[in-house]
Order: sequence, then C-alpha cells, then structure tokens
Amino acid sequence: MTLPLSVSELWEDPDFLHWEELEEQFREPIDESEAKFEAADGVDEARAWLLENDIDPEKLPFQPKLVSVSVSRDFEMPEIENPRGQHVLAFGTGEERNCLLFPIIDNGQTIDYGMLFIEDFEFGTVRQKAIWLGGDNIEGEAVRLHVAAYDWLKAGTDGCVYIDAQRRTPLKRLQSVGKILCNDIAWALEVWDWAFGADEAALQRFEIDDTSDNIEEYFKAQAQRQVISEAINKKHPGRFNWVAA
Amino acid sequence: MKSLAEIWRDGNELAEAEVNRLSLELAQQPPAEPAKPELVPNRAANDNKADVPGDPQHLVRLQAIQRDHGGDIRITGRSWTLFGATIDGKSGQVSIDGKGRMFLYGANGSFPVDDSPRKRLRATAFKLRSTSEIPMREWLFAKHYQRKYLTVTVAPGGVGKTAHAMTEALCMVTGRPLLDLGGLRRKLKVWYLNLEDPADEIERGFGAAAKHFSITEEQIGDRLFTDSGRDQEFVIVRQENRDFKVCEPMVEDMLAAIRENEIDVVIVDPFVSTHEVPENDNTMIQRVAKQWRRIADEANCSIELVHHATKGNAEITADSARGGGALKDAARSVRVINGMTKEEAEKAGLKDERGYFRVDFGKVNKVASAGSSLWRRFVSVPLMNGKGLVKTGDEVGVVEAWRWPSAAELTADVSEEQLDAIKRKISGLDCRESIQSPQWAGYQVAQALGINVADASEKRRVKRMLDAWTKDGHFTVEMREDHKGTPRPCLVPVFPTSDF
Repeated sequence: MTLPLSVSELWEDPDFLHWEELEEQFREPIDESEAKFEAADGVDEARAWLLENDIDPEKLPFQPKLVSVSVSRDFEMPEIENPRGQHVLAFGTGEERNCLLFPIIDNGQTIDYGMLFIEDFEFGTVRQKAIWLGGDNIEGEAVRLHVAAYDWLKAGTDGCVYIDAQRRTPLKRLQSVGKILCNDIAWALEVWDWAFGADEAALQRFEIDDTSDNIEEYFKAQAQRQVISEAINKKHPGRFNWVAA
Repeated sequence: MKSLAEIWRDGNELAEAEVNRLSLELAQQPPAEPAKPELVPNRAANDNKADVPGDPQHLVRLQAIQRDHGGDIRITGRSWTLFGATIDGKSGQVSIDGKGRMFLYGANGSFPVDDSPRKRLRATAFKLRSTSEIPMREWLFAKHYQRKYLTVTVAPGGVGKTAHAMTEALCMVTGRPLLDLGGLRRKLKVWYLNLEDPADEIERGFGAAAKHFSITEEQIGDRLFTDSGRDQEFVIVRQENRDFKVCEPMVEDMLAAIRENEIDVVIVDPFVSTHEVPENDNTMIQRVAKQWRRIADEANCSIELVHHATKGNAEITADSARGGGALKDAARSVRVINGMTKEEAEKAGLKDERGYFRVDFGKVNKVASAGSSLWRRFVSVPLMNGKGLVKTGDEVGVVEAWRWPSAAELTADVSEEQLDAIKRKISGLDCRESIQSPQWAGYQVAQALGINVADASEKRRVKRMLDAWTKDGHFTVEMREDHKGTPRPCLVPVFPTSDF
C-alpha cells in the first residue's frame, strides 16, 4: 500500500504513518466505496440542487450525486461474513435524497468520498481518510482557505477546506504556501496558531477579507472572556482551571 | 483585503481597551451577593495547596468519637488519627478514609465505625384529651392477638399447643368460629412458622384440621402461609464466637416478606428455635424479644410466640415459661395452656382427662381478666392417606372447642319420675343443704339414683345436681330448727301447684 505523500509529508507527527497504516485496514476499501458511488444515480437531482444553491455545476471537476444515506451495523447484515462492528453506509436513491456525494481527490487520486448533508450543511466523509478538500491546491503563491465545504463548492473547488474534525497538526501543510486567504478572522487565527505556532512573523502570510464588524466583535468577545475568567479566578482562586484568554 | 498582522495589532489594542473598560465596570459594581462563609475556618481555598495538614472536618468527627470512647488525636502524615480509642470492647486507632468512611483498625482487623449523630433522648409532655379521640386498640383475634404487639402462649410439652395454634390460624384465615373465640372483624392473613416439624407434618396438621372442620380451599384462599424451620432459617439472634448478633438480613427479609404479603399475624412455634442465646439470660432474651417486637411494630402485624413451659406437674402460669422472664414481660398478652387434671375430669363427668386442656390468660396487661377458662379437646382425625387394606393412614390430632358440661347436662339423665320420687323422699325429712351434714339431702338423692357417694367425685356430682335443681326451682332453702333449737338451712322440695 502506498500512501500519497502529500497528505503527510509536512505533518510532523512521527506516528502518523503508523496510525495511517493501522486505520487503513479498518476502513472500507476504496474500491468498494468507488463501486457504491458509481452504482448510485442522482446526478440530475444533484445538478438541480447545486443550481438552486448558487453553485455552478459546470465549474466542478467531478459530478456529484444526490443520494439518501442510510447506516447499518455490519453485524446486523447477513451478507457480511466477518463483521467488525463497523458502520456500513448505503446510498439509496429513493424519494428522500439528503446528501450530496462527491469524490475527494488528493495528489491526483480519489482517496475518499465527501458527504454534504443538505438539511444542515453538515459535512462528513465515507472513509474518514481525507483531511483536506482541495488538498492539491495547497501549493504555490496563494491558497484560499474556506471555512466550510459549501464555500469550497461554491468557489468551484478553488482553494481548500480543512475537514478533519479530530486533528489539527495537518494544518502545517499550509506552511508550503506563500499567502493564505481567509474570510473568517477566528478561523484564520486558529490556523495561524496551529500551522505556524503563533509565530508573529507568519501573520504576514494571511490576508483576511472578513467584515470589520465581525473582526471587532471577535476581539471584543475575547476581551469579555478574559475579564470574566479573571474575575472568576479572583473570586474562587484555584477552583476553576480556566485560563484567561 | 487586510493583512492578518495588521488586524492582530489593531485587534489586540481594541481588546486591551475593552478589558480595561470591562474591569472598571466590574470594579464599580456592588458585589452581587455576599461571599459564602467558609464551612470550616482556615480551610484552604485551593485543596492542592493546603497549609493545614489534615481535613478539619475529619478532626471534628474524630473529636466526637474521642468524647465517647477516649483516645488521643494526632496527625499522621496528612490526616488525623485517633489513637487508643475503645469502641464496643475493641481498641485500636480510628481514622477516616478518602471516601469519608470511619474505620477502627484494631488487632483483630478493621471495623466500620458509625459516627452518625445520636438522637437525643427527650421527655414528651403529656396532653390530656378526650378519650374518644384516643385510637382504639387494634385487637385482631380472641382478645389476644393484637396488631404491633408481641403475644406469647406458654404450654407444657405434648399438651397440644401446635394443634391449637393451627386451629387458631384457620379461624383467623377462614373467618369461621371454629373455636369459641370472638373478636374477628375480618379474615386475616396468617403466617404460621413451625421451626421444629418438617413441611409435610405442617401440611398434615392443617389438612386434618381442614378435614375436621370441613374447610375448603376457597375458604382459606391466599391468606395462609406456612413455613418450616427445616427449610429456611428463622434464627433472629445468633451466636458468633463469644458474641451474640442480631441477624439483620433475616429481620429485613422477614419484614419484607410480611409487608409484601400483607400478613396480619405471624405465629412462631416454638420461640426457643428462633435464637441461640442462653435461655436463662434475661438480658439476651430481652434482646430477642425486642427484635420480635420490632418486627411486629415495623411490619404492623401481630407476632405470637409459642413457648415451652418448665417441667413439672404444677399448674402452669405465666411465670412457668421456660428461661428468662424477659419474654413474658415484653409480651402484651400471655396465655397459658394447662392439661385437664384428674379431678377436673371427674367434676366434668369425663372418664379420662387425657386430650382435654384449658387456655387461660396468664398475664393480661391493661384489660380486665377474662375470668373463666376456655376449654379445648383433641379429636383424632384420620387423614385417609394410607395404602393397602387399612386405608385410614395417619391419625392427626385436631383441637376443637369443648364446653364444660353445664348443670342442665348433669341432671339430664334423671327422669321426671325419678326427680319426683326424690322430692317426695326429701319432703318427709329435714334434709340439710350443707354437704358436711350427716343429714345432707344428697344422700337421699344418691340412694334414689344408686350413686356411690363414698367416691368424692360422685359426691360432688350429686352436689352440683342439687344446686342445678335448686336453681331450676325444684327445691328451696328454708331455715328450720334442729333438735337443739338451732336454725339450720334445709332443702325443701317445691311441688308444682297442680299437685296440691
């Protein structure tokens, strides 16, 4: 098994490859995921939905499908011989299509499938392998860092989205780009913290096009939090393990 | 599009100004609520940086133990320990663990120490109120069984206490007047515990009684519970090495069983099998009785303990109960069972005294004495459970009520003609009323009926016959002078008016 290097080459976690190998064997094989994606229809429905939601389907390099996702336990499925206690996703094509399904490509290979649930715009992946949407765009002069998958689709898959809910260290991949463009001050500062170790010199790399109201609100909220936690620590010293922001 | 560096710089300035503004605002505000006083003075706000070693609350708890049990409190490491305390005869050191539990560590092991605050003794002021407001005593049956109280029946061996208890149980369960006892307001649920006999013997007893009194299954319903001490343990105070311990689990189980089945009366037969304490130790017997009384009180039922009497031929009284008198004193009502004596059998005109006994109230607290005895007799009931040619099988004794023969029954054998002859015979003589007189009227009666008055019991029988006739108006007492001129009470026959 060869892994696309670009996923982890800038990631400093020495155990990453080890974990990646371990987790890979518990994931649904990519061939199976691919077959399921191919078997599902819903291209026209997806097109209609994209147009309705201001996303130009022509700009997308893949054809998403609008499907209904159902989850079962493998040990409850008679066709699975050796159950491992995993969730098995099935893509139905009934009336209630609730999920926009599209492939996630990293280093030129389809490594996972993204699921954008159209009810609440929640995002997940089929195999929990992908860390980025548009990971291949993280190179060169500049990259647009989106907050959510919808923004990325709206931008015609230009730029990238960080989609790993559990880890933050893979954000260091952003060190390989000259400029990072972001429209959310809170997310930009968090990424600066994780990707560049809050190095003040690295602040120059970020260009922010958030509204000034949002920016002001963010800093005021931070100030308020600091005052509250200081007051509480003063009143009950040592009782709450809160760190003043 | 703005550089993040620029935003960061401006933002930090903005945040700093905001922090200053908010801090000032906060400082000007009056405190929202007064700070809560610390539970224990000197308690460190941060537990990790305690200046005072040992928990002050533990110290307070240990000091309370020290007041009652002595010892010396010292700090050991980071906690307080009470050295040299003596609790329940066990000495050792007392300390409190991380979960706040207090233990005594002695040479024989560790024991939990209960330091929950004691309930203070108090005197309750008496308030006189109308007697109609005082709730009635809840007698359940026979002016003996009373709810929330302990009752005792004392009997010598072999007289029939078990069969008697069984018949009484059936009375309460069926609501039928099987014995001449009253006071049953409704059918009761009875739990009969026989700690000596096996379950099939209990079944034989109840089966025979049911057969004798024609009791059906429907009449018993689900109100009778029986258990044998051979199948389950009913020991309430047990000996453990040199100590005697109350079997709390058994008490709890018993309470649960009584509550679950809504049992009204528990009959325990015999009391001696419910404990392992020396019978003559009043203190220990009191402990056992206290547990039974506790069950009666907490489970809201009546507990009847059947107890053995001392050996000997003397009349059984409440004081004849074997062992310590504490049991008798703890009971609200004590009944005694006495076998019929030979004299009593003669008086009653029975050929044999065996199989008859009487039940008396040996100690009746707070109610006037019942007075007359209640007589019982054994009848033998064939169970018909035999196999083969002789099919009767077991014969089991069942207790039924027996009435002392009345005067009318004594004279029932004497015909009108015989009585008339006796009356005519006596009318010609000055027959005395006194049995001690040589001219007693009874001698004429005996002669007429062919009764041997040399036998004392026969003589008494004649006396009772004369009494009965006098009561019925056949004779009257008149004062007549004897040969010395002294007036003596004489028996004078009264003839119906038509005879004259």
